[in-house]
Amino acid sequence: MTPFKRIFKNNMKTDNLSSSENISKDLDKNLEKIKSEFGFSSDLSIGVSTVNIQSSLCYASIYIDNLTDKNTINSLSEEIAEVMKAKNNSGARTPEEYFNLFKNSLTGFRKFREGTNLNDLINDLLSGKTLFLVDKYHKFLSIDTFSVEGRAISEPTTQNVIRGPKESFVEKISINTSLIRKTVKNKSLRVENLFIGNITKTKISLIYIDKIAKKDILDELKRRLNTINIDCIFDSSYIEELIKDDKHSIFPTFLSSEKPDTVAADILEGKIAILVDGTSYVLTAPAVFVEFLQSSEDYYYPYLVASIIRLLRYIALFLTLIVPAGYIALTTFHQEMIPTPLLISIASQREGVPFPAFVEALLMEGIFEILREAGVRMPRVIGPAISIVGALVLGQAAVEAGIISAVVVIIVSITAISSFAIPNYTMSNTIRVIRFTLMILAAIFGLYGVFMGLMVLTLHLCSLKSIGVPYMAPIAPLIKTGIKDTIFRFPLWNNKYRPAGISDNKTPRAGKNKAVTAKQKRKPEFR
Amino acid sequence: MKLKKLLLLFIMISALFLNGCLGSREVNDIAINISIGIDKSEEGYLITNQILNPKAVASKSGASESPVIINTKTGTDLFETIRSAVTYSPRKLYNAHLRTIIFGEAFAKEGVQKVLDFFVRDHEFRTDYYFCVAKGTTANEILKTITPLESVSGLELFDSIEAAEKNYAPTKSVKILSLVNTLLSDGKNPVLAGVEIKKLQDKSTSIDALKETDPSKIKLAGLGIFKKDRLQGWLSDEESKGYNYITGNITDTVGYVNVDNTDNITFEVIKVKSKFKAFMSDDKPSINVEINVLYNIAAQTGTFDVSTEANSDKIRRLVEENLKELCISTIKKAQTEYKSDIFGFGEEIHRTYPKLWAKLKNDWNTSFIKLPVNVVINAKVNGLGENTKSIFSKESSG
Repeated sequence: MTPFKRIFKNNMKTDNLSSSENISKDLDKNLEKIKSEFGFSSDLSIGVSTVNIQSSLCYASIYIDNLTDKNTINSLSEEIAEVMKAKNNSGARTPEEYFNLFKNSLTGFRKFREGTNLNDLINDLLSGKTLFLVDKYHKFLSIDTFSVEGRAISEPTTQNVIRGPKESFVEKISINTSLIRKTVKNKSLRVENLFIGNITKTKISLIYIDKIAKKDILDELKRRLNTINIDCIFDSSYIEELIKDDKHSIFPTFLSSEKPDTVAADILEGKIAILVDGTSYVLTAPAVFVEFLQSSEDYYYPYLVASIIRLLRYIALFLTLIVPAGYIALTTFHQEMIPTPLLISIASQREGVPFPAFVEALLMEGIFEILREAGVRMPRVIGPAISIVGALVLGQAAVEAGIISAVVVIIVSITAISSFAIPNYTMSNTIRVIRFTLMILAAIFGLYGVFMGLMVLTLHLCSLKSIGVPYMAPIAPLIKTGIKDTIFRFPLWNNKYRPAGISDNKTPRAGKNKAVTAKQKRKPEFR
Repeated sequence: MKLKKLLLLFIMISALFLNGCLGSREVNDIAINISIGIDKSEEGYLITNQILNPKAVASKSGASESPVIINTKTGTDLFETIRSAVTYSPRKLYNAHLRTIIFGEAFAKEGVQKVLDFFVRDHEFRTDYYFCVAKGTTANEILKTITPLESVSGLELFDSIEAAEKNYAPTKSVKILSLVNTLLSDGKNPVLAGVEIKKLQDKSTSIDALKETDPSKIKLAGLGIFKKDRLQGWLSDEESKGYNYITGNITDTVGYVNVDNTDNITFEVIKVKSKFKAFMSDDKPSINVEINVLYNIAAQTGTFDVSTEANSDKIRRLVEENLKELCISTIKKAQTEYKSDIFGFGEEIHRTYPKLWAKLKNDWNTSFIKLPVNVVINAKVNGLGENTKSIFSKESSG
């Protein structure tokens, strides 16, 4: 028994139906049973008719209205009518013969299955299939007619790029899978489905490349997924929260992405993608810290430019963490560390400000966070109002009224801008929280406290793991094959091997760069 | 086991609280002390604190308030007097941003050693402020003067000592550590930058002084020569330059020589390296000073052709002579007039002849007077500037 079947069974147990109950031979009884299981739900559509005018043998077609595609249903019913007309004289008389007739003539290229189990029947109904039952026969035929309206593929909303593919995942898992499939056209790409959520039965797909993904990591991931026992899954973040290595860590240890090219690139590195039906964010694991500061665009720019931009992001990360805490520490504890002219300038601005530097900074940072939160939740139309209130009233008026010094407004702005330079929104939120902790430490202990905080942070980061892979890899522990794609992006032809901790596949990813050799460099000259 | 871990955690957390950094103070609760002036008074000290008024210094709308607050106190104990300044101001005096310490001339003549321990010992002082001596006036007068450009005389002094030392070398910046080290060494006496008030007008202590184009201004005035910790006298700007040549403390300076009694040729020195060497002549210690100078031709007044090799050589010899004269006159002044070894010749003799030094040490300043000093200048031209010949020189026919 594969692990996935076990899940299936586990989930079933919570239902009140016994899993072994089969459908009976009596059509009426079956229909009654199904109706009562669904509590006479009004979107359950059951059609009963006789196979032909002469016979009294009945068959039933059952489907759930809103989960099925009207066109498919229509064409199915047309086909049935044709079959019945054509086969009127063929002499098919027994229920079994009719069942086989259905099976042979209706299925064609369609996805179908036959079964006897009542539970399977209900599950098929719930996944948008149309069922056919023939009176006095103990099997059912289910044909896939699933169709749900969804969003069209659009540009990503949080991970915007200027260069590179601009499509993003949508809420439908089948489309998401196809987006990855079409990017990685290889027979080794594996898609494994499972269902999690005792009530919602959400479809989860694991996508990876056989022989490139590390077997141990894959097994561990499957084992963890199997242990999940929860009623619903609405977003991939549920999976992350339920199976992450350090339950309480503030850092994300699964990379969420809404871009198929990012996920495909990760899969090619040996990582495993976790797709969840109903969300446009796909998780990839294992994820290491440096990935959260990378953008797919890094690979679409010249490597030198990309490296510098990455470096810039690290600086931004550092700034957004340190600047408010540093300001508090320096102005309340270590004035001797500020250059004299700067101190004079700060002192003149602080003149008359009623709050201590910490309260001042906390106030402004807090207000900024509220503004940001409000900006996310509020209706789009009111957007400009918030920015006017935020920028003008709070920023300018507070400074002019002498309640807040201008330096703090600058500090908050630096912090805010820097925090937006972190490409991953989850990580940027994490840093936001840590920043406040550092500010409090700075207010109590000065720079000493800030560095204590940073030390604890470093220790925590080094102790973290993502499905067994150290979070700070490939920097700590140093992994030579991975280090070429961390703070600096080495050229594609130079970065040949997959990071050792994540994939044990040793085949080079790129060959020698032979397009232009040193000798040839000057040779072709077309004027 | 769990208890042990808990205990460890407790110890680690308590370590967080066991630190000495709890002295938090807001920027607007401190009085930034820019300069301390030390004069002598009947009671002992007359201390002048020049405290910054940040509102006025950094204000965009021009100065409407005095940029500094002068705070004068007399007392018998230095630290107590400085601290007692708090009775004048609602804020705690903050000394970490001290830029200059100025000794009044009268005070410097009586010896400065007794105050230095405080500045070394106290934790609040950084070590990057400069010492100077008020020439012909008191430190109090200097600090009361409002200066243009910087408007805070303590800051202006700091900046002008730095700028002058880098660009013209008529002075020397002395920080606390080098001052103390020089005082501690046997074979060297300190020098401190001199400051004087250029033009004392009635207005100079008021803000109106800023409204003139040539307001009263404090000015650097050569170097004050000390013997041990007592001020002996002053070197002029020229002699101070000589002092800096001898000690190799020049990054950039300017001089001129006269060629053929008509043309003045200005040279800009861009690199100076000096080396002392002690040797024995007639059983007496002597010093050889070798100074390597690299210079550019900066300007000329006539049409002397500086581009030919022979002429270049001529200039070089003139420069060497000029500098040699300057150095020798400086050394003579130190030897005859002030009798103080400010160059550190004694140290060199100490290094070369330690045994001989043991005998000389006690009475070095008298031996110094008769010390034969030989000065060798090796000048080298680096470049002629943007043009070669004088722009006004006419092409000689043929």
